[in-house]
Amino acid sequence: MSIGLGATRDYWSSVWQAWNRFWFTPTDPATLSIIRMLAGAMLFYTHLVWTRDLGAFFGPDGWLPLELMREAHAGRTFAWSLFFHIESPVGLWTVHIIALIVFFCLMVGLFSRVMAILAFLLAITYANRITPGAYFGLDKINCMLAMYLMLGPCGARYSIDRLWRMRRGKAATILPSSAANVAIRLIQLHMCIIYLFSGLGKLQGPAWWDGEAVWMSVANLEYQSLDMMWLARHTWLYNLMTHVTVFWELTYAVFIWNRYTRPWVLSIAVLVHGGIALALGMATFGLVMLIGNLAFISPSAIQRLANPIASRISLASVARDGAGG
Amino acid sequence: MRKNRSKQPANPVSQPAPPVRETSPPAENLRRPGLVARGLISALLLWHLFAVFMAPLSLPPTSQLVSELAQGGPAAPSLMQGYLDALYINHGYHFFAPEPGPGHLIHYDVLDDRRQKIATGKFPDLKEYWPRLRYHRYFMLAEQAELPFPNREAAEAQKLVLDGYARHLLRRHDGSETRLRRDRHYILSPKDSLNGDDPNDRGLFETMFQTVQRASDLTQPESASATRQPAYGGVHLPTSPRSYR
Repeated sequence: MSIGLGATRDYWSSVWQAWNRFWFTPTDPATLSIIRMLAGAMLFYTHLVWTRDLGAFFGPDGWLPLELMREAHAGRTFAWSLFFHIESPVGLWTVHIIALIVFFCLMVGLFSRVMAILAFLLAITYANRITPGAYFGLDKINCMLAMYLMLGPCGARYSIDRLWRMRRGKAATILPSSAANVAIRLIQLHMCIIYLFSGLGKLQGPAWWDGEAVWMSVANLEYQSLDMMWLARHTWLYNLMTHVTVFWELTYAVFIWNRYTRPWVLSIAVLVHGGIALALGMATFGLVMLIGNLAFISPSAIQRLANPIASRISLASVARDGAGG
Repeated sequence: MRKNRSKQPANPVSQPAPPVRETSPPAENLRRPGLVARGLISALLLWHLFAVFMAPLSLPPTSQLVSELAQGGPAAPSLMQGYLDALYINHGYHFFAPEPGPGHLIHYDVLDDRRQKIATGKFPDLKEYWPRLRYHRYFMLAEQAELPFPNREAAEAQKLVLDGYARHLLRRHDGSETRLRRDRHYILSPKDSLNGDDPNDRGLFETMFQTVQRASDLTQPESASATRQPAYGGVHLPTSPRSYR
């Protein structure tokens, strides 16, 4: 009896230790910072493109009339948007200009943490107003990344905040952070859930079983940005691409955690999302998914790539010997 | 042994020294949140991840258990639904699922009082909508006209959305009548493609819906259009379950 109790206690003790290691081990904020910079750039671009159609999409009598959108969200009290309450062009433009400034500040890392919170709220304001109607995967991932960025020190590196700290003579050392780890872990797990359900959803469609789904994607002229009709001559190739996509999505949540399989999983991510970006006219969606995948790149690898560039910028900007990042 | 950096003279800007590598204390020596804080954060993390997982799981087809847990009922949405909605994480993530479908196009003509065309066009249209992200938003307008509204039949919802597009065009061009139709563009099968068939052949297009909105309709509420009979044409539900014609 006591052996059983002891074993149970040891089991839960080791579970708690593993849980703590997974979530609360402080990590260098390099990965979170590079995601901030790239996600900020994507948020800025995504919303800059709205500029030309601001009234047409977000105005009360636009493509998606306010009255209809209120009905579409009936009973969904918490599906909120500032644009559900703003009808005047002056109000729309005021929010839009503020949003562009916020996304730009997030990208360059100026008041990063505050900007991450504002960016998340503003991204939701836009996304909910066009859901359903004109939203797609880009909006979902943009909002997801903004949400997790605000949880950690996303401006610790590769930011104007960092340059300011150096200019003011603050210590060059950047402390590893538990909050950065929590934010990165949440992005990682959210990405796993996204791919798992993307794969499971495909299992309901015959085309993902009979191998023609990739053909059906690239042969859709409304999507097509690269002429891929030559694939018709290579049945085995589009069959293989279809099967690889499904198995990769279904197993992503397993193989991404192993250090030996992770490079393969990430390489396929580059091929799949790169293919979507180039061939299916969704460069923004392809890129934002790759930004999400960066959560699986270690801070040391990010630093090896980004610090030399960051060092040059900081040395040019700050009249003192400084460190990269 | 570490050098004492504070005793080194500052480098002039014109001759910057190579960047000094940072030294970070080992992660295990750093302070973690206290036990109570970790417990609370852990509970929040579990709740959040459970909600993120339940959102796509609750999409049809799904069980009553999952549906009611994640979404609640129409009269009383669940706490989880409120949480998912508030954070905009209420998604299925079924990209290109269950399978990639055919494309859709909206064609329109706006007429003036003398029944002369004052605007004509289609979307999505690569020539008109640039950059590609802007094109994609218009593509989504054409695609998502079929998305369901709560408490409305699919055909009724489609009419409501497309009448909304027509009314927007009326206002934008100050016209007296807009004629609008939504076409489905079927995909060429690999076999037909190898036979040299044209992917833009007229036979690959099928009109799903057409409507007319007049200036007099603009005084009616948006939702009223769903209960009126379409002026001509009307809703045509898909005949082909697959993307090929």
